Amino acid sequence: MAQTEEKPLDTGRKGRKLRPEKIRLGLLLKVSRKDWREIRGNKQIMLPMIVVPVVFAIVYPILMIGAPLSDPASVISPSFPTVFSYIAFMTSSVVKPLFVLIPLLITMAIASDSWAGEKERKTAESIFLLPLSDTELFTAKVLSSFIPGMLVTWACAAGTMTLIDVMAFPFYPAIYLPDWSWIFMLFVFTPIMSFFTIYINVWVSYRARDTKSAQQIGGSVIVVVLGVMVSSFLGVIDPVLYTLTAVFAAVDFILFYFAPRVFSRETMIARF
Amino acid sequence: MSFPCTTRFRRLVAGRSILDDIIEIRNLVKVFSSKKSNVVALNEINLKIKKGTIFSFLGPNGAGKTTTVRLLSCLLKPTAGEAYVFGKNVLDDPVGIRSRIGVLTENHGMYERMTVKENLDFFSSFYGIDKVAIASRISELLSAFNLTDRADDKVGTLSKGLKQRAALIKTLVHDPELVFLDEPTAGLDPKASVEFRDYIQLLGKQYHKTIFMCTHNLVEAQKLSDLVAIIDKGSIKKIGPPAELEKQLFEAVTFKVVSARPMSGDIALSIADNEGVKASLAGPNELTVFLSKPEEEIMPRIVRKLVHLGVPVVEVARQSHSLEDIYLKLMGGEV
Ligand SMILES: Nc1ncnc2c1ncn2[C@@H]1O[C@H](COP(=O)(O)OP(=O)(O)OP(=O)(O)O)[C@@H](O)[C@H]1O
Ligand SMILES: [Mg+2]
Repeated sequence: MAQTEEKPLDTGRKGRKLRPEKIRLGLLLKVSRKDWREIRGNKQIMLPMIVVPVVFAIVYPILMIGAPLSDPASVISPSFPTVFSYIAFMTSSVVKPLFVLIPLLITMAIASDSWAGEKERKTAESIFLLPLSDTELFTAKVLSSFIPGMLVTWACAAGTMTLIDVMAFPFYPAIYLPDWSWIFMLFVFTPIMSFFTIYINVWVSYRARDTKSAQQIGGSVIVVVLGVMVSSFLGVIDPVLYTLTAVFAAVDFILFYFAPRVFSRETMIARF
Repeated sequence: MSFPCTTRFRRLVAGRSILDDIIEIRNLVKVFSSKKSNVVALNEINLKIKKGTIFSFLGPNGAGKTTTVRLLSCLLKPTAGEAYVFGKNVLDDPVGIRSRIGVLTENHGMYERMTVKENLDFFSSFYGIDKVAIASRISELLSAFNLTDRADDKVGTLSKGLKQRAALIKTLVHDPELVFLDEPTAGLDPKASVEFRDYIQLLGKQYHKTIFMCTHNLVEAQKLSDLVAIIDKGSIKKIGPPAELEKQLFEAVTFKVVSARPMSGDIALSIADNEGVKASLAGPNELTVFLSKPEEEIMPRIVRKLVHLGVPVVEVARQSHSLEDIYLKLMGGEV
């Protein structure tokens, strides 16, 4: 039934994406805002988003630093000649590594639900039918996790640093935190690691059947945190952070380039 | 005739047939392959649908209807063959195609934790239509589908049929030129089905939208569609306007003649004596006449003959074949 003269002129196949595509940020943020609205109604995600900051950013520093300071003399020892040296040590090797964990837990909670949740609630097809490119959709999902993850982390950091400053003030009459290493951690390391976590999780959750299995597989990123924790007790946290930053930056760059290109609606619709 | 045929002109001419056909499918094949098996969902189907057509896609479960819709809405990629929507290959411009279509999927696909209104606001916000126009369109559609008073309820709290109506609104909210409806009346009550049918007719006939509808409801398909295709196991068995399919599939025309008094078997025999006619007595008062065409010449003669034989004819009715008969005949069932 098809005659050759009817062959249309635009048969050039652009199936493979070579050039970077343009991204319409305004439309992406609509998807993200929709996700945030969904997150607010989802206890499974909201719970870690509230518990993690309260426990790790407030309760934990008070227990580890504030409680012993109720009797300042008790912390003085040959290794800590002054109270402040004790505070500085606890801050960098006990409190700081937690700021690797906080963004990780928050972004993981959101990211593992990003595609798997749409699949589970049977809305994936609807969202695929929107006039957005694969790259735009993928990027929207990455931003949905990245932005709240960063905001929560920074809010936690602001709280913890203030708390430590207040506790340290009697022994160090100046503003102790933030110092450069915290600024580096919060504004360089954390975003880079968050991207990595999210890419892995969005990727996994796009392959996984439902939110639960996505969380299990994506959770393996936690190994990284354990590494940082151990390094912090060994007193080498800063070099470890620099190294990880470099490694993750390279991996992010690769993922950033390839993940949206490998991502396709077909895989999600047709795979069960 | 010879006149300068520039490349540009040829382009226009070549583009023309494509533009008339909102949908064109050529030898389309879709195979779902996995490690264990290969499922051939579509096997070389061909299809052309013109602008303004209300098209019904019929076929048993697993025939490949939904797969076709997904290919045309650029969610799946063809394994072989080509599909054009608005003259554009589905592989070349998925975003452009998607911005001009509305798809009602098998699952309603709405966010259950959001209200109907929030869902509609969300889904309609990607098409670059201004807010005021969208708001008035949403309230217009809500009232057309009798959903205005549930607009602020969470979708999760609606009944199946109400969800389906909300999903229909979502499909139409951005005023798409081409509307795909996958089992649109599934779950609708009879009144809502009729209202929906009227609305689809309005869209097709008045606003010249093209409708591509997958359905198991043959009555609905018969009432609505200009074009019907019947697909089975990934191949299109028949395609054409419903009336034409009837002509193609049923050679004989059947008439039912009802008499006021019981008839004898001899009457059936003497009617059957005429050329091109077969008659049988269906009951004491009812004679069934099978004619090969042309009916308009033969039938008046038969009625005259019956009256002549003293049969008090009270009713002569042509038995037309419904789409259901056509469908069942194609699927090898009893008519
Ligand atoms: N993702 C998939 N993976 C493997 N096979 C699939 C997939 N999607 C569809 N199929 C198969 O393709 C065939 C056609 O399916 P399709 O959903 O198009 O049928 P349908 O005509 O819409 O049926 P129904 O009337 O039940 O909705 C079926 O045999 C189905 O099992
Ligand atoms: Mg189907």
